[in-house]
Amino acid sequence: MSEQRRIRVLLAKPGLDGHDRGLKVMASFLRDVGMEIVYLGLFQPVENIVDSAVQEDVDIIGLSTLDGGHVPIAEDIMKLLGERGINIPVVMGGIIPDEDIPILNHIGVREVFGPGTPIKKITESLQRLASSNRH
Amino acid sequence: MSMTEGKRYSTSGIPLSGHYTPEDIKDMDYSQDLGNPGEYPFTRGIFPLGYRKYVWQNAQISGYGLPEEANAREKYLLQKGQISFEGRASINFAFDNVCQNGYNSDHPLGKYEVGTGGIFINCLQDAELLFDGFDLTNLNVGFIIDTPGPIILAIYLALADRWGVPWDRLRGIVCNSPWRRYYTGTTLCFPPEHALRVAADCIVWSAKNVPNFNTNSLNGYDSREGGATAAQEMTIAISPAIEVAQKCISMGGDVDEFIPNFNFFLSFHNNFFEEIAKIRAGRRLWAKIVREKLGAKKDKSCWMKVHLQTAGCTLTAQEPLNNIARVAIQCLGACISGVQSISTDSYDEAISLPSEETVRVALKTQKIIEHESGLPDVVDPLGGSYYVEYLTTEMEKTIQEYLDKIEAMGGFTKAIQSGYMETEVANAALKFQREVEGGQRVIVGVNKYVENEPVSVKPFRVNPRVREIETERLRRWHQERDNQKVREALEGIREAAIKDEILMPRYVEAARLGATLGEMMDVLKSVFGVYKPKNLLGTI
Repeated sequence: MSEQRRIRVLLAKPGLDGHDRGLKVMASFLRDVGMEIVYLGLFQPVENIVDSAVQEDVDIIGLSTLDGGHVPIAEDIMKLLGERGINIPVVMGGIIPDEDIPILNHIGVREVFGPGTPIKKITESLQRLASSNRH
Repeated sequence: MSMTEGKRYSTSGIPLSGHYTPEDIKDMDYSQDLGNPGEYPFTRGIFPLGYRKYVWQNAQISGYGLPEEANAREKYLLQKGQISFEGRASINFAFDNVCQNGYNSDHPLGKYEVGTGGIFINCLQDAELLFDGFDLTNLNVGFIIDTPGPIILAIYLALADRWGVPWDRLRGIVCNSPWRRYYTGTTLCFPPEHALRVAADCIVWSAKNVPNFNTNSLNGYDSREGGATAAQEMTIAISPAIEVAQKCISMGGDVDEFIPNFNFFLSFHNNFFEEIAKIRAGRRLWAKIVREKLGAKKDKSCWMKVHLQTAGCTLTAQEPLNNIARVAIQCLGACISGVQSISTDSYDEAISLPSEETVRVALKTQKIIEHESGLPDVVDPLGGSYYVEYLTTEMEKTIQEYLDKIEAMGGFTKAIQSGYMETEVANAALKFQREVEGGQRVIVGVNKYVENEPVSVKPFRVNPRVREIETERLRRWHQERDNQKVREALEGIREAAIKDEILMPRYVEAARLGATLGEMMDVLKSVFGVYKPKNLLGTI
């Protein structure tokens, strides 16, 4: 894979949670720093997220949840990726209690960004994940 | 220092001077622009005696888990002093995402969110458990649900029938305000033109049949949480109010009969004086619109009744106790503005659903202002302030400009369909966050005075077996009812939807026979179709 290629990030809200302010702002910010965004937005079944990630050849899957469904959502998406042998790093953001972060990490979510995380920290983290996955 | 160096603006873009003088309000006419409290145009408040007669209603938003669990939380809040007007019990239910989208709890799309962000009412049995032990004649209940709202009200009416409570003794509100759903927090319900009809159907019918129940909550709050400015928020509340009122009139509704059942749901954000000016300007503008544009004759029709929630989006996950200060300031501002009902956010809401302890602190914050600040003694204490009157007038102008712009587009439904509203809100959110990232906007504990310490709040957990238990209850419910009669009642709804006939009594009949929310919504969706979210990002 060429080093020149821009990082491609898929952004989606799984389930029925309608709070999309944070994810929309994130999409714009990541575009500002030169990443390509595949914005799926609201109401995405996990199957659709995985299918789109493959079709769009993204480097990272970013999911946002604010209504408490983060653990079962993470379990379902990691299971599906595993069954299909797909190795794309998954990150999550939204209202997620600190004590759930180790649980999500254990399931396979690479990074969890809580409210108020500086954008610089998120972009650096995504760059690191994307490049380590390409080598 | 030059004049320009100190230039500051309110969040809605109104230029601010260092101080104000009589010169800034010289064009103001007391009786025409303000009037005494309780007098048209109600800038200073809708009641002459303000909180001396009616202290605001405590309306903590709550609801999670199984109906009996939500019932227990409401009893807890009641015991801690959550009351409505004339000593009634006050309940304000949030609904989970599954219910908001018109699905029953056992629907495959509801896998992650049953009972997590609110309650569900799938059928009459859920309503019975939810209100168990409450006297419906001594209750003010809020159903914070939009497109499926009329069906939730119908299930509540079926419950009242079963318990022998006359409908005119019921008080409360069903939000029934689908418009907000298309520009933020979208739901998988009908396209806007059909949603307008379903909402108006409920408003017109209920004005005659459930006369003391509010049937429309004009929502600015969600747009504000999504990023809108104060002026945009008020515009987004008022603009669809005009459109739905006109729709109700076209369906034969009498404006003086139905419009007193409108209520406004607004936010109080962090720019203290602008928020107060927003509410005062909104009251004045709405009164004029109702009288001049909608042709109402009665004073009561011109009241902008406000339920206000403190701004959840201003709460931080960092140093959560700081949120108590934020909520107290916002709540104080709300009281100064003279609103009718307040929901104070709990300090852990950037982390999880509120626990009993945190919601108690939020409720007691209201009680402290009521009893320990002297605020309820005098109505509209800032009336006549050079600054606040200047800001009120400027806010009114800014809101009017937005309203004119939306009217020029063909109205609020058109503004939704074109994507204008969604882009406006997304842009405002983006601008705000850029200012936070750039440090021009300070949020204490987030981008300045940052502490590197772990969050100390224990997150509240919802019972993880809710969906499983409710799925089993629904299975039994289906077995025990007369399915032939339910099918006929659902056909009745379909026919009324196709023929443009009144829907509300059809839902009530179906609910009485055991039809579920999901079944009734499926029938309506099959006639009206389902809206697809546009997912528009900011363009700035």
